Amino acid sequence: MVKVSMKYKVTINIVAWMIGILLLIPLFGLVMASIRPFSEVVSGWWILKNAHFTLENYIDVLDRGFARNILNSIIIAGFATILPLLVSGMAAYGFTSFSFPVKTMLFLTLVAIQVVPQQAVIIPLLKLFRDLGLYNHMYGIILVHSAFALPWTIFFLRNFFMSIPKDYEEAAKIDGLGSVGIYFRIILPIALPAIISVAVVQFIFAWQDLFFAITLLRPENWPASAGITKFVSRYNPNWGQLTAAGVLTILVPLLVYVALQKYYMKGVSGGIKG
Amino acid sequence: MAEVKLINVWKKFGEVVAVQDMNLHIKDGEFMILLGPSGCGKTTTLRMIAGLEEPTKGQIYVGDKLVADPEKGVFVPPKDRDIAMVFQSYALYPHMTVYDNIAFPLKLRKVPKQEIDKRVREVAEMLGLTELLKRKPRELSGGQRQRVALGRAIVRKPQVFLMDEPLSNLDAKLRVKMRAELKKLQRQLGVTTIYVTHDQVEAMTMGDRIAVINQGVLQQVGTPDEVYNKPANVFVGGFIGSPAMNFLDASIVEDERGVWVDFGEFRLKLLEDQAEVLRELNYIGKEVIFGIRPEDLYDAMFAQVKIPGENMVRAVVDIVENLGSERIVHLRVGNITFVGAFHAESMVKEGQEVDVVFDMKKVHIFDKKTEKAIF
Repeated sequence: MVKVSMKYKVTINIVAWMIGILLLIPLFGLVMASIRPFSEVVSGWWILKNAHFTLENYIDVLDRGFARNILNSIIIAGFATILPLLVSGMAAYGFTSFSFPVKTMLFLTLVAIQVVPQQAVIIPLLKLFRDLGLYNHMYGIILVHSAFALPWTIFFLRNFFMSIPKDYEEAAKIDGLGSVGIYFRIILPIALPAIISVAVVQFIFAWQDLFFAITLLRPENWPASAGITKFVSRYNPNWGQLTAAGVLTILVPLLVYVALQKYYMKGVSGGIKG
Repeated sequence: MAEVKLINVWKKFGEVVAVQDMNLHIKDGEFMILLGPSGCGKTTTLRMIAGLEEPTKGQIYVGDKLVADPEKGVFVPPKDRDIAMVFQSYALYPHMTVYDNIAFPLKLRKVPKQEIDKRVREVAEMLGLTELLKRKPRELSGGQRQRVALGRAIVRKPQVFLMDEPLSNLDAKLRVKMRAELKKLQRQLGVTTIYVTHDQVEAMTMGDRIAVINQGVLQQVGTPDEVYNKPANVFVGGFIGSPAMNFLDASIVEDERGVWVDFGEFRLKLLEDQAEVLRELNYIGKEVIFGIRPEDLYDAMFAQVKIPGENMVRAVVDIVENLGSERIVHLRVGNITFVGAFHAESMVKEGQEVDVVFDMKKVHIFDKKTEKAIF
């Protein structure tokens, strides 16, 4: 083991704390602005002298129908996470464990289409949505998110599955499992940390999307990321409500991340301990 | 319990021939070792018996059942071959407890819950795993994991056990212990066992018979004594035994005193029955490979039969390795070098000259071209 000097440890800790605090300042400001009257915030949210705290902004935001936007976000991001993972897990396992014609070609195509930006496909997509009657339907946008998720999730999971020793699969074959059984009863439980990592990232991707939401949905179906714009007006932005909506918007992904952080870290750092 | 037969089995990976025309008959209840260096095709052979690889050609039988024959389009999947396999890495499912790992093959076969519980506990008792049943594999030591892997194989009561270097991940001391345990267990259960290893000590100590494989070709099948004392060719002679057998280029000559192995620098007189064989097979005057194991060379001080000029030669000691129980002595006569395993009390020193006695009853002569044993 490398011996680390005390001085080095202290320096690293100070630097890490400074970066952490620096990153947290805007978030802290957001929360402060949301729980204090506008008159106090304009002179600086960091001034705590004679501070008053109130949940009025949150009540106003929810009164203006923002709960519906949050619910839309949960539906869209939730399904846009589950659906592609169902498909990409099996596809990635296929790429790892089976031989079939054009396998490499297909995989390279998947890698290549990851670089296609959303903006490049939006016009044909919009036309397709109109033709298929998907415009302004949540399942439409769920499909789009799922389609954009597939290449990178397959790529990520395939790489993880490759790191699982073949012996597990072969032992399971001898024990009596077929391919489907091996995938669901052996590979998936072993790959759980990786799958959760992918799920967390995809959920956050889908949650924070603004572009597809405002293009493919009308305001009544907007998720929170788009719904937040109703608190912005040209001449007099309502800072209190805007920040309260902001806090509510980040609350769900934050909770998802905190709840699954243990698995997420395992999945990102990799490794199977058997 | 069942016998296993491989008939003219070939396995090719693209252009690479991994197993070549393998014919092997493993008897019911036998402990058969597949022995050979890395990449010799022993694991591929085992995997073909398991059903994890399909042979390119040939037939494999487990019991009376034909399990693989590409020409007839027969390929029985692993789960229907009634075999169990222990992997080198143990392959214990990391998300399951020891209990679930052992019970898993029974669950898949829809064995009633009570019966599963009974059998898992029996096996755990047999292998000393009872206290560990609730643990996950990562909480076990190497030896414990190895026993769980065995438990998972035993619990099924299969017809054949297949083991792929199951002891190679254990430390030396534990390996010796597990070797004995495994052998005892196999005797107790009486299940036909095919065991792959590259470790000749494992092969010699555990196997009823050993199949020596090199470059995909079966070299010899026999009891440990047979492959040790009567190697079929230079490869088997050299692969089995440590330190390895000495091989010296020589020619066979005959004069009025008898038949000799001539090394140029010195010569040794063959016994009359050996001479007879060479005469009959027309080897007089031909070049051969002479083989003798280091333990069949003696420091003349400790040899019972020594006949100067016939089975004894004076050699220079190059290096002495003292192993405590014996001394490995590197010897030289002119340009010819060989190794002797001398008695521990032999006092030979580096640089000194010593009379070396060859036990002529134990010599091996191989054909120079084919490298096959003449005797």
